[in-house]
Amino acid sequence: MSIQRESYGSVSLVRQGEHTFYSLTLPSELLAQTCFVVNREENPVEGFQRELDEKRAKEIAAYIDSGLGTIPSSIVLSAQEDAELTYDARKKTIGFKKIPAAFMIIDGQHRVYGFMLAKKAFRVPVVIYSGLSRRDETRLFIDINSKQKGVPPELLLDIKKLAEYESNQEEFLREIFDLFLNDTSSSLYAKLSPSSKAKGKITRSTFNTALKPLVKIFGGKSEEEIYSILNSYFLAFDDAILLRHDSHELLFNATFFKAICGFFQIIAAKVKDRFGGIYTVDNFYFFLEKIGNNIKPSKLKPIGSSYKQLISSFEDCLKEEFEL
Amino acid sequence: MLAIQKVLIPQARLEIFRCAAHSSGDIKGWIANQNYFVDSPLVAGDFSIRAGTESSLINALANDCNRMSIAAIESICGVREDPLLKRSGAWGVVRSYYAAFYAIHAILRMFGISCSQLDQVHVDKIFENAQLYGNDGGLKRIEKGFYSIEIDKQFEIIRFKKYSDSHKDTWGRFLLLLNRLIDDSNDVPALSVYKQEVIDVLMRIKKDITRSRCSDKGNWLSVIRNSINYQHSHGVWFPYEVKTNATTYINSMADDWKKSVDDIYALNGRSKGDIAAFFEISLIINSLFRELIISCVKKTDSVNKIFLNGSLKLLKIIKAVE
Repeated sequence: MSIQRESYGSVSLVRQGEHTFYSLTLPSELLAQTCFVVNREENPVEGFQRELDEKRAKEIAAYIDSGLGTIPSSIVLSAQEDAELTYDARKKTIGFKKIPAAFMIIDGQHRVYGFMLAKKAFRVPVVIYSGLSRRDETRLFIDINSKQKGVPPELLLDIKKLAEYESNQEEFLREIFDLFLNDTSSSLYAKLSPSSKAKGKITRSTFNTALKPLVKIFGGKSEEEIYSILNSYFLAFDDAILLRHDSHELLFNATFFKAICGFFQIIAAKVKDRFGGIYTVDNFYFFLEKIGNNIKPSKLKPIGSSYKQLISSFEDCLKEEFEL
Repeated sequence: MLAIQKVLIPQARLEIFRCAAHSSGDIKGWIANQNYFVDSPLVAGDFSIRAGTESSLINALANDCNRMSIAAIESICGVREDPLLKRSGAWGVVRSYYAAFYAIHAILRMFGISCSQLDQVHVDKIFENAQLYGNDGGLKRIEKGFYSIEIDKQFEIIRFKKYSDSHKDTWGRFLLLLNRLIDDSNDVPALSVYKQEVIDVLMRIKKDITRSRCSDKGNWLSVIRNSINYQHSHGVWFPYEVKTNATTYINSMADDWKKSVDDIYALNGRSKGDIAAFFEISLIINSLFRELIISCVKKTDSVNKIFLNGSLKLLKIIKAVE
């Protein structure tokens, strides 16, 4: 059975810098039948859209059905290869195969879902890119969304690699994050969330913020070496301080995690001095045990967003009491 | 036992406890579905294949592990005194043996090893795949039988090694695992004190299962069970020998296995006599199995429904987990 081809007129071919796209209007029900979105949670390798907010889509549908509303902003689509999109410059028409995955939604997933839920049908302004690779699609998503509010920084960070936009430092931190994410001997195993906020987990954004100040002391060490050193430190911190005070979950609290990372340089310097740069769990524990012994349980709380206060508390516990 | 969490759990295949369950197929089912490539020439009795997608393999191993876990739990729970023949010890021995046997099967799977009986239909599927890739290695077919199926940490390469005796060789495979864990535990990032605790426990289990000329395969429990089963030895069948006192141990098995490994070692001195040692070793192995499965589940964020609705549910029913 041959697949039906659709054809629509009044198409404008628009060039903006490196990009070329077609601007036209399409019936809302056609969008519902031919568009799809790839979600990062469903497809962590290929996906980059955030998860659908059903409530928002229903609000859009209600707005449309009220007859009073108007949504003039264009839906941005990327034509997929299977759609076999063609453009007739003379007639100013485009044609494509009417298949379920003809167009990937780059921007406007909630509007399209809202159109699906709405009872009324109408024409929707769309912009269609053709011939984009998945890398181009991701870059477009970042470019369109980076100036808008609402897209979580965790998601943008997570997909930046896909778009090959990462700086060297971000790439370095990503590699270390991924080691913590995937290694079963990681102190943060099952406690990291790469692309969205999750309760009781450290996001990529928090991880990067906490580790960025430490990059200058990493020297020429590889990602694996840095992972091994940091992992030993986190494990020792957990054993010496948190488990001792029944506060293991604090390791995965954003504020506390920043404090732990902020304190790393102080402890690492002591380990290097005492043990000659052998950064094992035992060697970190040698110094952290003192904090575990001396710290008051009331200090083991993330105080709002003030991780610096926590670092001061740790430092105070390390100070030797001087006697003549 | 915190040391088990810190040192053994990082070495386990935690992915099987986290994966989203999407089928009830086990390792044999996975083999039949042929989601793999035989991309190196077959060698009789010892060959490797490469997984097609890791998720289906992880799912299969999860089902395998859950199945064996359920069998271990049910077996140990049923070790009870005979209501009529209160001095009878034979079936208590047999049941305790199977509890330990299923427990080591489950433990092996937690570390990526499935000891399974493969029928001709299963190995024929592998052979068919090998022929497709021109890697039959000159063989006419792969022999059915008892195999150790070892899956690497990346869930990519699966090694098949043929054995002959399903009981003796499963214990042999467990002994190899113990040796590997004893060696590898030194390299796990953890406090030395925890590593030493774990190595001590593993060494003690190794010593226990390799006693009395069983150093090669670690199948001492199987030897005693066979001796009792087929030769009616050790006075646990009627007329019962007073000195064996099997029922003393039988009565406490179903409760004591819920204690931690170090508590059990602390309670029991060095056991004298085969029957006392037999029950103690079975108890330790089941306790280790319980601590391992609970710790693996604790380490994951979103527990696989296979375990949630399977062995974990069973543990909750019998109040062997909080």
